[in-house]
Amino acid sequence: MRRILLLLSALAVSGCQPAAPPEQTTETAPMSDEDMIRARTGEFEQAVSNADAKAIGALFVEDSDLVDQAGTMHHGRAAIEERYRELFEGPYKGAQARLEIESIRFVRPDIAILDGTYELNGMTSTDGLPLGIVKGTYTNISVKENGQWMIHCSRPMLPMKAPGT
Amino acid sequence: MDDPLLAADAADESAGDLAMENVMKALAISCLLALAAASLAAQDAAVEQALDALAQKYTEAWKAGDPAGCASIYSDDADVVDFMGMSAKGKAAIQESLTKTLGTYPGTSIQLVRTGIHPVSADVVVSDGTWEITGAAQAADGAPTKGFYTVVAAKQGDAWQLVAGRTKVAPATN
Repeated sequence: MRRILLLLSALAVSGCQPAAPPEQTTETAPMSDEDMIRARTGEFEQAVSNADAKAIGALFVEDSDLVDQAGTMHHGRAAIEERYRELFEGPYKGAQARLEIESIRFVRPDIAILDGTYELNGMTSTDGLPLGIVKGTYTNISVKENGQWMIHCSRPMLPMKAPGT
Repeated sequence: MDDPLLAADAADESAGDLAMENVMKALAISCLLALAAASLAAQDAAVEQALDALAQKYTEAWKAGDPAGCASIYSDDADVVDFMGMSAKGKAAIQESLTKTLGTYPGTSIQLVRTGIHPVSADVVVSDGTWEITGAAQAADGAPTKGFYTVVAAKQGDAWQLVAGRTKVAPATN
């Protein structure tokens, strides 16, 4: 009888129900802003490797600007697209890109400064000679618009080697 | 209102009222747009003035060989990446880096020329320009004396400060 009472008590505590299996859900956790920016960087890398100037333009806001490695300003999405189109028909032809993010800093919840490095492999000179791997750094200022992170300003750079190196 | 002339008069009057209403609406919209444009222009002028003041403070401190003065235009959490890709995070590290930089260019002046301001939001702007160091009698071997800069300025309370600074030099052309 005691065993029966114990069993009944245990059933009462457990609600007389067998343990329910963990709830199955297809919902995924929303991406953090940092993850979204990282995903955008992946899209950029892919667009460069695919020589897709249009896809690169789509990552920039309409009123964006790019100051290239030589210090030349390209203002507006169309001008940036055109710049990349020229590069893909010239030195970037056939090049594969690799972008690494070094830091993401939010100066406002919807404004981030992104620093990273880039590598371009397979570039050719104007004479058609292979240039090997070109390495540089970049800073992008990105903004969140309508739930999407877009590039507002892009500043790639070829770092100068320290004197004597 | 059976009289067709009266009916025509009434129609004319009604059309006239509508036209006048449209003119008034257009005037009101024009005034609002003009006010908005004036407000934006005033805002732009205020930002330019603030950036000019920061640049002046920096150039004066540079000339005086004062790294703390140069670093004072940055926010406490600012970061800087120089033309060699070296970064300094935080005002203290920026000041330390500037101490070395000023040691590389002793007794010099720096000229900053702004080439553009790109508002990112009402209180964050990106500003680009060129820098040139003059009077370098004995700059370290191979140290560049001109290049480009990009800064991100943000309004903290009533004051503008730099939250990021990037310098670069044009790559050598063969």
